[in-house]
Amino acid sequence: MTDPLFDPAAKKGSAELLILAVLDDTECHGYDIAKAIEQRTGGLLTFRAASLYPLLYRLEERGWIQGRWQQPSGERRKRTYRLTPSGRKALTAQRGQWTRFVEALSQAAGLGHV
Amino acid sequence: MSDWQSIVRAHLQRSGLDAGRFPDAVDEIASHLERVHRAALAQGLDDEGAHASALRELEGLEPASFTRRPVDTRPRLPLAGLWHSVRAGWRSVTSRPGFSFGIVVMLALGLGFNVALYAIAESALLRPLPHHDPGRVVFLWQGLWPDGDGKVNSVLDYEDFAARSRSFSSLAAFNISFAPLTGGDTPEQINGSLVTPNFFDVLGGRALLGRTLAAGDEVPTVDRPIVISHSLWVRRFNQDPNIITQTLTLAGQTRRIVGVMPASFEHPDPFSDEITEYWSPMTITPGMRTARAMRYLRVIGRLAPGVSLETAQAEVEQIGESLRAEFGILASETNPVLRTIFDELVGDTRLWLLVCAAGAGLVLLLAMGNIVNLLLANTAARRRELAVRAALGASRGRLASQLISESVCLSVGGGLLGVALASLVLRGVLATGGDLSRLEEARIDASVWVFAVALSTLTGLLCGLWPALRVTGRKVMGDLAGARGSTGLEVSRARTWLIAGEMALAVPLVTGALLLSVTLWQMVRVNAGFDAGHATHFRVNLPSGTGQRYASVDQRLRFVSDLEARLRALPGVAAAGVVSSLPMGGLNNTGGRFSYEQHDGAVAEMSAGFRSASAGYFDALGIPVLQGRTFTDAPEDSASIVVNARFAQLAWPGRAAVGQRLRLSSDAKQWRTVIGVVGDVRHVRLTNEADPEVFWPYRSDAWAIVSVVVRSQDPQATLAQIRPAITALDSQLPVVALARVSDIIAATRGPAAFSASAATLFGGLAVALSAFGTFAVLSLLVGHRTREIGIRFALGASRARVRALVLRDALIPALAGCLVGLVLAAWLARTLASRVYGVDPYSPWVFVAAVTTLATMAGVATWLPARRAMRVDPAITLRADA
Repeated sequence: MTDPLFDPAAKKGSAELLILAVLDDTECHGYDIAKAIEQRTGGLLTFRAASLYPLLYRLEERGWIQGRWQQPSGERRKRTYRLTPSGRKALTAQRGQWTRFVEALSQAAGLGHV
Repeated sequence: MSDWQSIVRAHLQRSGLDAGRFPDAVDEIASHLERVHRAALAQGLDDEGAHASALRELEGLEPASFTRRPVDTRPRLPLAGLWHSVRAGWRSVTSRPGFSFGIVVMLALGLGFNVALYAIAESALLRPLPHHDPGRVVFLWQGLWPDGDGKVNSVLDYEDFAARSRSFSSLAAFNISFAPLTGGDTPEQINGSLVTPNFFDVLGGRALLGRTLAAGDEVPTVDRPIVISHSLWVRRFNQDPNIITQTLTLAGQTRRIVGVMPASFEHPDPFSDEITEYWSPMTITPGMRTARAMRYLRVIGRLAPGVSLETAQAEVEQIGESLRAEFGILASETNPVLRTIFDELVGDTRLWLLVCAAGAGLVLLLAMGNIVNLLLANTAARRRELAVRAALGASRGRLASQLISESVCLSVGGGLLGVALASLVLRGVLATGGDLSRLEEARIDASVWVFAVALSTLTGLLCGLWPALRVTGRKVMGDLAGARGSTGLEVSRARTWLIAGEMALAVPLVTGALLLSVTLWQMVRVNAGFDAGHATHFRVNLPSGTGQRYASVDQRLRFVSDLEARLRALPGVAAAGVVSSLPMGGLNNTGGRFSYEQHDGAVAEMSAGFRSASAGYFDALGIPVLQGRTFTDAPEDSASIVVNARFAQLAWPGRAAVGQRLRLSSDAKQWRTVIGVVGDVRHVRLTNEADPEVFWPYRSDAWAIVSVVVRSQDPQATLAQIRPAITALDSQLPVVALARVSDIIAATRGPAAFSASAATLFGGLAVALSAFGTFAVLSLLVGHRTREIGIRFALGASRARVRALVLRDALIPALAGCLVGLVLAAWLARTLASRVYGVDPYSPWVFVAAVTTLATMAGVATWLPARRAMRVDPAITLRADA
C-alpha cells in the first residue's frame, strides 16, 4: 500500500517544489529532471513525461523556470531548463511552507480540538 | 527504429497544447522518449520491451493536459465556496453551545430594541399621512406654548386670517365636539368635530359614500347634514349601503347623514387622542365673534400653488403685526406660527424616536464590543486549529470567510430572538406609550423582518471583521510559536481600550436614565394644587338644543342641583360639584382677557383662564380657599367671582383681592366682585406652572357640557355608584370619562413614565454590558500576564502592588472612556432638555452620579480578575516555564 504522504494528491502539491529544487542545483533536460527526482527519493517518486512536461510548461509560463534549446553535435536537439530569480524566490517560499506544514502535522497529530 | 515524433504527435493532438508550441513540444518529448528507450535497452530489455517502456511515458496524457489550468469537470454550484464557509461556520457555532448562546442573548438584547424602534418608526414616520399632498397642509397657531404646543385661535383670528391671507387656497377651522348618540339599543357618547364646510377640501379628503360637507351646510336647518366615520358606519349602522340620507339622533337633534369617510381618513387633531366619528358643520354666530381672547379653534390651511411655507409664514407674521396694531393685541397673544401637519402630528414622536434610537444604538454597540472581544479571544484559543487548516490548504480568505460566517450565524440567531423581544417591547409601548401619535398600527410585518435580517447580518459582518482581519493580516503559522508570548499580551492590552469605548457609550445612557427618572419622580411629587387622591370624575353632555329636555338654563341648573344632591347622598361622599373643564381632563382650557380695577381706580387688563364652577367644586377637588369664600348656589352670588392666588398676586400685589372688581374685557357692563381667592391649580399639565385663573358660578352660564367631581373616602367604591345615580335622574344620558381623578392625573405622567422606563432599561443594560466587557478583557489580560505576575511575586513585589498593576489596566481606559462619555452625555442632556422637569439637564450631580455608578461597576468587575492575579503561585509559574 502506498504511503499516504506520497499518494497522488500529495504528489501534485509537492511536484513544483521537487522540480524547482532539482533545477536549483543545475540546468537540466526534462528527462534528467525526472531521473534526479527518482534518484533523490530512492525510487519512491517517479514522473512520467505525461505529467512532467505539462508541469514544466506551466512553470515556464509562470516565469519560474526558463527553457532553451541546445543542439549537441550529432544528436537531436534538446531543451534544457534553468531556475529564474523569481523561481528561486518561489522555491524558498515553498520550502518554508512545506517545513511548517510538516511541523504543524507533527504537532496537530498530538492535539485534540482546542 | 521508432518514429517517436509521429508517436508523440499523435498523442499530443488533443492534449490542449498551444499550437505555437506544438512542434517544439513534439521534439522535446520525442527526445525524452528516445532517451528512455536507450536507457531501457542499456538495462537489457529487448527492443520491444524498451519500446513499451518508452510508450508508458505517455500514459496519463489526458485531453487538455497542457491547458493553463486543470479542467475540473465536477459540477459546481454558484457560490459553492461561500456555502462551504457558511456550513463550516454553522458547525463551529453549534459545537460550542454555551458560548454561542451567550453571544446570541447579548445580540438579541442589542438588536431587539432597534427592531422595535424600526417598527414604531415605520408606523409613525414612514407611513404617509392619508391626506392629499400632506406637505402642503399646515396648522396656523397664534403662538407656541413653552412646551411647543400651538396656541389655538379665536373665531375672529380665523376670519381675519382667512380674509387677509393670499398664501392659502383654503383655510378651515375645527373644534372638538362630543354628543350622545341615541336611537339605538343604548345611548352612546361619541366624539366628533365641529368643522367649517371647507375642512375636507383643505385635507383633500373624499367620502367613501355620499359626499363631504359643502358651503351652505352650516346654515341651521331642521335636519342638518352630518358626515360620519367608517367605524361609526360599521358599528352602529352595520355598513348599510343605503346609509346616505338616513338620519341619526345626536344630542337630541335629528341629523341627515350625507357622507361616510373611508377607514383610512385620519382626523388631524394634535390635542386629542379620541377617535373622531362625526363631522358637523360649524355655524359661526355673532356671539362667537365678541372676544378675540375666546380661543379654542384649530385652523388648518392648504398652501396656494407655488407658495412656499416660508412665504406663507412671512405673510401671516405681517398679518399678525397689523392685527396687533389695529386692535391693540399683545404680541404674546397674537404671534402667528405655521407648522406642517406632519410636524404637528408626529413631531413629538420623531424626537422621542430619535432619542430612543440613540439609546438602542448605543446598547447595540456595547453588545457588539463585548462580542468582538469574545470572538477575538475565541479565535486566539483556536489558533492551532486555524493553523492546521491553513497548512492543509485552506486559504486565508477561506479562513476569514469561515470566521465571518460564524459571526453572521450568531448574529442572525440573535436577530431572530431579537424579533421576539421586539414583539414584547411593542406590546409594552402600545400599552403605555402615552401621547405618541400614529403608534396604534406599529407591528412586526414583512418590512420589519427585512430590517431585522439586514441589521443582524450587518452586525455579524462587523463583529466578525476584526477576528477575520487577524487571520488574514498575520502569519497564522507564527501563532504556533507565540502562544503565550508577547504577541498575545500586546493584543490583550489593545483590547483594554474596548473598556474605554464601552464606558464612553455607557455614560450618556446612564445620564439619560438618571435625568428621566428624576423627571418622573419630580412629576409624582409635584403639587398640582388639588387633592386627586379622594376624587372621582365623570362628564355628561346635556342635550340643550331647541326643544330638547335641557334647552333652558333653568332645566340645566335643576339637573345639576339634583345631581349634586343625589351624589352627596351616596355613602361615603363628602362633596360634589361641577366645573366646565377638569384640570388635565382633556377638554379645552378656555381663557379670556379680563379687565380689573387697580388701587388707583385705573383699569388694567390681563389674560387668564376661566372656568365656571358650582359651589361644591372647590371642596370636591380639595382646592384650598386662601382668602374669603367660594360661591354658594344662591342667585345673589351670580355676580360673584373667585380668582386664584396667581391672578390676585399679579393684579393686586400686596393687597387683599377680596372686594376687588373685574370683568371680561369684552363685556363692558358686567363687573363682578371677587369674593374669594383659591389656591393655584395646574390646569394644563403637571409640568406647567399655574396660570392666572378666574372662576364664576356655574349658574352664570350653565354650560351643557358638565364635568362632575365627587369627593369620597373610597373613590373606587364611588365609581360603581355613579352610573346608577345618573340613570335614576335621566336614563338617556350617557356618562363618559368616568375615572378616579388620581388615575386621570397618573395618565398624564404616562409619557414621562414610559420615557423613564425605557431610559432606565437602556441605562441598566449599559451598566451590565460594560461590566461584562470589563470583566472579560481584564480576565484575558490577567491570563496573559500570569508569567509576569509570577516573576514579580518571586522578585518580592507585594500583593497590593500587583493588585494595583492589574487594576491600572482597567481603570486608566475606564477613566478615559468616562471623560469622552461626559461629552456625549452633555449632548444627550441638550437633546432631552425639553423633556426634563424639576432638574437641571446640565446638573453636575447627575454627571457625577453617572460616572460614579459606572466606576463602581468597573471596580466590581475587576475584583475577580484581580483576585485571580493575587493567587498566582510564582513557583508553579516559573516551573512551567522551565
